[in-house]
Order: sequence, then C-alpha cells, then structure tokens
Amino acid sequence: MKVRSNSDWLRELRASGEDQAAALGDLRAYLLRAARYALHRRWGRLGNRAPADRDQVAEDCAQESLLAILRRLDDFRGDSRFTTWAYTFAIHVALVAARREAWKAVPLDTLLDDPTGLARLGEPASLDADPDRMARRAEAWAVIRDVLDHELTDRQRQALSALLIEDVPLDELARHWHSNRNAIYKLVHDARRRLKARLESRGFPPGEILGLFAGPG
Amino acid sequence: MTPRPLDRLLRQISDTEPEEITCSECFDFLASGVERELAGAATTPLQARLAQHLGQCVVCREEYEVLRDFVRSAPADPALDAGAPATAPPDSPT
Repeated sequence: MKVRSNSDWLRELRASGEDQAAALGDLRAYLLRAARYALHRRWGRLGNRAPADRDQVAEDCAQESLLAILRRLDDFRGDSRFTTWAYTFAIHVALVAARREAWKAVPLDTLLDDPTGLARLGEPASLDADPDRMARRAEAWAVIRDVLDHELTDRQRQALSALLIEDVPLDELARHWHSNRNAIYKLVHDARRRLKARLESRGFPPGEILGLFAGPG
Repeated sequence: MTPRPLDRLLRQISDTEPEEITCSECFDFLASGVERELAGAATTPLQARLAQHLGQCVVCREEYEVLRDFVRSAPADPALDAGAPATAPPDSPT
C-alpha cells in the first residue's frame, strides 16, 4: 500500500481518475480494518451470540464512514495523522452499530417509564464511626434527593436513570427520543450543574462530596 | 468492579464544570488527543477538556479507548489486503 502524507491524502482524495480511485481503495481498506477491530471489541466475547453477518456489518461501516469522511475533508485540521482522523469515523460508526444491535430488542419506553427510576440509585451507607460525618452525609444526601425529586425535569430524571442505572448508551437514548448526542449530553450536564450548585450553596464543596460518601467510615 | 450508580453520580457531580465540550467537539479532537496520549505529550488545556468530557460520557470514552488501542496496535502504515483479518484486540466487556 502506498505511503501517503496528510497532504497526499487530501490531494488524491480530491483528485479524479486513478489517483483518487487508488486513494479511495486504500482508505476503505484502512477503515474496514478499524471497523472490524471496533466490532470485535464489542462482540468478541459473545461467541456464537454475535451477529452472523458481522463481516457485512464491518463492510457497511467502512462504506458509511468513507462517505462521511469525503463529506468532511475540509474539516481535517492536520493536527493528527490523516489515517488516525479517518479511524475515528470508522470506529464511531461501528460502535454505534454495535450498540444498536445490543439494544434493539430492549423496550426503552417501558424502561424509561419505570416509576422506581432514580429511586434505584442506591442509598449511601447510613452508619459511620464518625457521627459528624454521618450527619453531614445525611444532609448532603437530602440535598441531592431534593434536587432529583423536585428540581429536575421529567426528561432529566429519565435520562439520568437510563444512563446511570440501566446503562443505556447515549446513542440509543438519543435515537429513541429522536434527538442527538449533544442535546442529551447537555440535558444531563444541566442536571449535574444544578446538583453541584445546590450542594455548594449548602456548604458541600465538590472536593468534599466524594470523601463524604466514600466507604462506611 | 463497576461503580454503583450512586457512586457514578457523585463522581460526575464532583467533576462537573460550568462549561463542557459537546460530544461533537469531543469527536473532533479524538484523533489528536489519542496521538498526544500515545506520544506522552504534555497535557494542554484542550486535552484537559477532552479528558473531562470523557469522564462524563461513556460512549465518547469507549470510542476514545478503542481508537487509542487500535492505533497503538496497528502499524503506522500497515500493508493491508482486503482479506486480512482485523488485528486481534483484547476482549472487553460489552
């Protein structure tokens, strides 16, 4: 396979004729390799339970990522090797496909409507050798529960429950809600900011929160 | 061992920043971030923001880690042929 610099890749992919065809063929081979790797990471442990058409899935991912790269050639800033940048597309497409496969049979509506939702977060340890620490932890926990129960939107509660308790991938939640990753991330970020701000306003700095809840004390 | 949901929430609250990069911005910096990590380069403010996002976002973190491990395992310019099997990676939990 021909060794290309970043500028070689850009020039040949934007060219026509044999140069472009060769560059496209080589890039597709790189992408296929990356897609296979990513799918193997997700499905390698599943053995016979992995999809039978995994080779075809890898081929489809390579093709989809190749088209995405060609659409976004102008976005390549040159701050990495071109091939590393290209791999991000193949790996992203492959992992989204693998997550879709893993969650396609799960009824997210049922899961998101579960009334127990965030109640299943767990409870902090109620006992502590240090009574002052135990009291502070109980107070911090009450602040967190108050925000979760009364200050977040239903959608924020559902998102937190899905992501933290059910391990629903962000992609799948976004797909289910006809949204996108950025929007769901912001929804949860806003919830986290509110929780952090309320804790800080009640005298619980971020550095103290983890220590307060760590271990039985 | 996977942290309990409550512990994950507490960690995420603690590590929350007023401004965080989006998943799209994270995607745009994955390649340079991975190369900088593999080269042992000093942490830049951008790298720190990338790391902060990866600490909050499970799917972006998975994509970062798979990219990093793939780049680390793949020769810089592998002689590929269409029938070659994928580089055998270590298995990881699904």
